[in-house]
Amino acid sequence: MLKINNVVLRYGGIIALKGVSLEVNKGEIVALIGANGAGKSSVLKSIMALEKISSGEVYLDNVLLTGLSTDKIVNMGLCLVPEGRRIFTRMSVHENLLMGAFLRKDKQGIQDDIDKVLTLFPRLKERLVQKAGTLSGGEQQMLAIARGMMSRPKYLFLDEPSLGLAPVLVDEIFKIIKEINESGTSLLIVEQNAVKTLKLANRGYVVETGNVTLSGTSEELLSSEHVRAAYLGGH
Amino acid sequence: MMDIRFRRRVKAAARRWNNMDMRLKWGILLVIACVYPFLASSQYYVHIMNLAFIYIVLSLGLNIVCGLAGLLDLGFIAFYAVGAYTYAILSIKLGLSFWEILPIACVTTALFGLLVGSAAFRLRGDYFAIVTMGYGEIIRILANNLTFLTNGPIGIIGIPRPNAFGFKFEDPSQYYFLALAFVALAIFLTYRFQASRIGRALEAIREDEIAAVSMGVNLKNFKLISFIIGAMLGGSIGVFFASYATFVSPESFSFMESVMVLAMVVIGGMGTIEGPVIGALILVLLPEALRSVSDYRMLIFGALMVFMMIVMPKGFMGWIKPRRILRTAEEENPLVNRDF
Repeated sequence: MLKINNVVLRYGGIIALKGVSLEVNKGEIVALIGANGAGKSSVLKSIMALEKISSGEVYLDNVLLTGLSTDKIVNMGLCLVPEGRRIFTRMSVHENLLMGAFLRKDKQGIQDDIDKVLTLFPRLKERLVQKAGTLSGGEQQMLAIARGMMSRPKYLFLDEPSLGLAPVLVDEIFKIIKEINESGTSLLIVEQNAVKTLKLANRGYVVETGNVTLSGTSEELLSSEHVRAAYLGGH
Repeated sequence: MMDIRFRRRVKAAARRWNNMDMRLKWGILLVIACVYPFLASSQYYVHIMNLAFIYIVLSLGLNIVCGLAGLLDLGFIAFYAVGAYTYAILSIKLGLSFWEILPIACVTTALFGLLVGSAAFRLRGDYFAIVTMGYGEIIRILANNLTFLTNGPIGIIGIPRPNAFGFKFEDPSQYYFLALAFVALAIFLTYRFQASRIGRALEAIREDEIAAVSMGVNLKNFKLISFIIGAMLGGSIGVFFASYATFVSPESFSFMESVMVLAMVVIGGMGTIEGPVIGALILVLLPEALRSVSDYRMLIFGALMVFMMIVMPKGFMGWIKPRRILRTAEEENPLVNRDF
């Protein structure tokens, strides 16, 4: 279980997270929804130690992660697929996938996992030797997720996986996310697309100006008056 | 202006060359390089090529820092200086031989790279570049003022020449093959390094630091590795330089030298291996070729450099690279989104 306890994050004088607590259980898909600038991405960055938190703790199966460097955290089975894809544009698709497995030493296992993610994302298979920068937006997002899978994470964090994608592609990506979860990876998804994400997720948290204001199962959130008014467009 | 048909022909030939098998390509170059001193009409031409070889190794070293890891280092010549002074001091004061000092110099420059690197990597981008400029100058000023060790601005003279199996290196053509060995080894090592896991991590850092960290790349450690490897290449050729010139003084390690090496990397094509080699050859040989127009030499040289950057903004290697339809925006214009 991944547990975030009372995390406070400051950017200079601005307080981005004012004591956020949340949990992701094994095998779950958890949605983190909220408006722009609410602090959703900051939660993910705090977990991965990409930002140094002022107080609070992050635990993975009761082991304290706070204070460890990002590479150690990746090594413990956490992986972030950052917002805006951030693939290595001048490297080939294959090299991008190898970078995803950067901390792993088992050559055979890496090759097996490449085959595995390529069956999950058949579009990438056709483009394996192509430079990643030449892929379409949707393919780049697929590559970013595939690259994240390459570290064999127990917990995978997706930051806005549907950002800037055509609706058809969003459906395809969400379908694959479901498959990833069914193969045993727990997921924490930050999204603006609240309805789709909550329908996919088991549970959800609503983040507003650096606080978790609401949490519950997806059904509860989808039927909550507050969530409907603020994030689901009122219908 | 250049005739368009001529330009096309140059490009086509260059592309054909570029698509050739790597080993064949370097093999041909090696054969040409081996024959060169026997065809050269005077020792002077061999001497110029020796200088070019020194700069090839230097730009290959800087290319690891600049081209591969994407860090702008403006003080690279300091490593060359440390290598050269290590040889000068140890050979004169302790009487050690060239082959004994070479590994020692590699270690001293590596340590020096570690020292300045760990301080400089607290900063990023332009600020990092300014710090590197600073340590480049610090080394030169230390060499100027630590008179008891470096003999100050007068420099160290009478540095012993290297020996190998009872053979003493004396004139440029004897040094030539030693320099060529340095170049061949540097090219080989750079290839191996670039293809390694560390090389890939450095490229990832260049492409996107945040993504690289998210994959578990420890930024600071890997940037330091690039710095140290580059420093060792620079330091080892510094040893060669001191033994070749038999004289070192702070003047040889000015800021302009760092800029020249950087210009070689940029003009040749950053991040490639042929690029720095071509860049070094152009920037060393071109001023020599222009000697006939003596007074206007540097003027023409400068104009040609500006012209090259206009025609080939991605360096020579970028210019001859096949223009595929599927090219990214960043590839078209390397200045976009490139955070040094």
